[in-house]
Amino acid sequence: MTSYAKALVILDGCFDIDYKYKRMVLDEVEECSSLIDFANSSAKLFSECLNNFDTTNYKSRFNDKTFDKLLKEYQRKGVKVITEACENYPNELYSNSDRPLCLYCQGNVELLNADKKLSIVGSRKTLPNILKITEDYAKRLSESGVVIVTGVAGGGDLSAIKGAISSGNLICVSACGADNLHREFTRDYIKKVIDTCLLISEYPPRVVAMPYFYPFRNRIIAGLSSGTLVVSGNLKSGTRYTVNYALDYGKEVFAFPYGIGVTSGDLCNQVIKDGAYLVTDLSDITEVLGFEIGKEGEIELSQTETAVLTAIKSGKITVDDIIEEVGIKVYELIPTLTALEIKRLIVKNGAGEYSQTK
Amino acid sequence: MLAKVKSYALCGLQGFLVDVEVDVIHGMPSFDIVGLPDTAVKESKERVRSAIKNSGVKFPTNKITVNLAPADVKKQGAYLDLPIAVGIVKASSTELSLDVSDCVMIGELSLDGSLRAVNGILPLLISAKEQGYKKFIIPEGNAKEAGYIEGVEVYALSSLKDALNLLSNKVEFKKVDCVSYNACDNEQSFDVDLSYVKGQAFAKRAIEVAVAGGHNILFVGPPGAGKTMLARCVPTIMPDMSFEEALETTKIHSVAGVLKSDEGIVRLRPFMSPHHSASPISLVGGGQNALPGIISLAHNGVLYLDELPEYTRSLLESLRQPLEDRVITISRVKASVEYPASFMMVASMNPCPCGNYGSKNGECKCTLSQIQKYRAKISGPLMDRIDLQISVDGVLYGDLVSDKKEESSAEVKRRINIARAIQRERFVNDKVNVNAEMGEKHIKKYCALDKECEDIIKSAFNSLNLSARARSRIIKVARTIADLELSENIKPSHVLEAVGYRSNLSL
Repeated sequence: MTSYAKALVILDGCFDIDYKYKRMVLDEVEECSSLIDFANSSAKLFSECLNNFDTTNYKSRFNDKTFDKLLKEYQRKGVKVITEACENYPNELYSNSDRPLCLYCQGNVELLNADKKLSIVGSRKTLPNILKITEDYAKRLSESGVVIVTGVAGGGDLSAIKGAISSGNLICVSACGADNLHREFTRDYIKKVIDTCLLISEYPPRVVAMPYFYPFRNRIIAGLSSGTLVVSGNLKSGTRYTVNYALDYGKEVFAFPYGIGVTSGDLCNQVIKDGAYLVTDLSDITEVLGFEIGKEGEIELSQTETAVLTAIKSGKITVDDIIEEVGIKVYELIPTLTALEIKRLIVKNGAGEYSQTK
Repeated sequence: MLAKVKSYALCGLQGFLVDVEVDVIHGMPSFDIVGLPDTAVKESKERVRSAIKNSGVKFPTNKITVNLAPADVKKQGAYLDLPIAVGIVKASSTELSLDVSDCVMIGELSLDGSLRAVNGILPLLISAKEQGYKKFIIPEGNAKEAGYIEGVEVYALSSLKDALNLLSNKVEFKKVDCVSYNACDNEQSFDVDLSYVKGQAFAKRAIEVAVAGGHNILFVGPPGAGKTMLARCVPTIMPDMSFEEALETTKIHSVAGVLKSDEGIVRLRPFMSPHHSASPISLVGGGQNALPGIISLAHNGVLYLDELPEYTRSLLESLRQPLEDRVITISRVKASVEYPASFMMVASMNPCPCGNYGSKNGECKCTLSQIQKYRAKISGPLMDRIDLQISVDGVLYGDLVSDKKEESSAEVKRRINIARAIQRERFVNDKVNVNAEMGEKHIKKYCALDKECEDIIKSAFNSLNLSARARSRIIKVARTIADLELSENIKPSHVLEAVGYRSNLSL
């Protein structure tokens, strides 16, 4: 590692300095010959903009001993550090002025430089069929080589994780250090993500997530990928930050359309109004981004199954309505509905209503 | 003079013989009862004294000692008033010659000498009959209950005076007529009927399957979805109680003192719905006298737990063992008592604290962690014991007022009776009665799955994220569905239907 990269690791380990000032200083000090050199020039800049800046203490950190200690700690925790001075720092991020200093990675770091990446983001709560569709899209995309980038929350993020995790083409971006992942809602999946996919964070292991970390973290999700699919979100959802970052970086934005009055989808409808691509089929995304995915095989359906599916598509969503529409007995209908569920064509919500997923 | 009178006392559901020995000797007038009596028995002194006087017999002014043998078992309740009084009269009276041999007397006295009904007559009489006693004197108020016991000579009397007259052979009394048991017309006895439930075809079918196989069932749905109404319909489609079942249930109700005196026997399957503020003791039984709790009162019937997550954790966990073993053993310092508790558990809950999660119309205001916390109140092991977990939602107004003909409870019950008969025949050599009670051994033996069924279960596991524990639940329910269809083997459609009875609880 160059001394500049080492300096970046040490600087990122200084929790008492905000990202804003680190970035400002780094823009000035672009290269350095040694750690001492970096410490001197950066300390001067910091003391100019920060009150009560303890120059002596700050400078004393910049030596090889501190660096080795940090690196050892990260290695022990299974975290690989990629600084912006490293070769494998993803190009998509490097072009952004607010890029993270270092990425703390757990898992398969090669995924960072995959050329086809799509981020899938969504709020925690939404309709169950949207979650199912998200899972399905994530599965099909990741299986054909597209790396899915998402967060580590429940809801939209979780269904993207569920879909992509088996193929290994998945990057999760967390807003806390590696030590504190157990506090996340999806902790059961995180272990598997680390084993087979990639989990990254801009924060060193010991950092505990603060609420304002999450929207800021979203710039990494938006920045890493060539497009962002918004699956759900109300107008106050943190997902809107991801959309804004994606637009700032000039990435494509896609969104699922929602019905009128469904608050969990207001954001999606809003971004579509603002010019995002409306997605009702996977090809709506792949054609814009130039991804190639395998065609899905036709699913064989029996006569009853077709009739039931048609009824559901026409808005008969409860068991009682379907019975009336199709004219079969309840003990014939329930097996048919389950068969369709197993074929992933419909999904049941918590109130016993069915909706189609394709 | 010494007199010996036979009586019975209760320990749990078992009665045991109590020899009431009365000795009246010359000395300072006193009245002592020995032989581990509890408070109610000690107080009988005063009742006995007044009752004897008010029945026109002289109360001896001598030293009276009453011994209740066996002396090392605690005697509870007021059953022993009558035998003590009769013993005193026999030991002291020179005018009356009482023949008390082989006659078992049970009854509480009031001050005027009349006999009051006591709890637990049925188990007492059954135990006494098993031990070879044939002649009984009981209070008049317990006559109905005693009428169901065959081959015994029971006199239900209204006062101590009558008892003395009977025992001295002065007056002839009529024996209690033996009543034959017939399960009464259920349709007229319930306030609800499945035909009153409009729509909800899925939930109704689920209830049918649950009752047919004795499976526990959980309704998940928003407030006002009709969960309680559906649960109340469960007893209306349960098969009629056989005499043995009715007798077992009546025993427990009799001991607990909740038996209606004009009924005599519990004909309708009990429906118990304890409030969620109930204490664990009230539910499983216990207390100083180790009385049966609500789950034992629900024996052969339904235990309905509304708003399941609102019950305290310890209370729900205390249900696990009785759900598995179908009996509850209550251990206290003085006694360890076993009560049967074979009930069908029907429970209901909301999908989230606000009740609207997952519903298409209502908007859920809870955070994910709130929902997770709410659902975590019900432990995995308890959930494992609930074979059918279904979602229900409210019906539309149009459905409520529609004239569409709905199937009545009687029609559903007819199908269930057939399915139960098939199960009885199947399990004739096993210790289980219904499909829900099957263990791994029985599943292997009676629930052979062909390749197609196995494939369905496998793909269901993959695409529906089922937990590994769900497998045996699905197979057991599939077996019941096959029984309802009179099919010998489990077919793919049965498995598919069984997979359908799981609520969409995942977040």
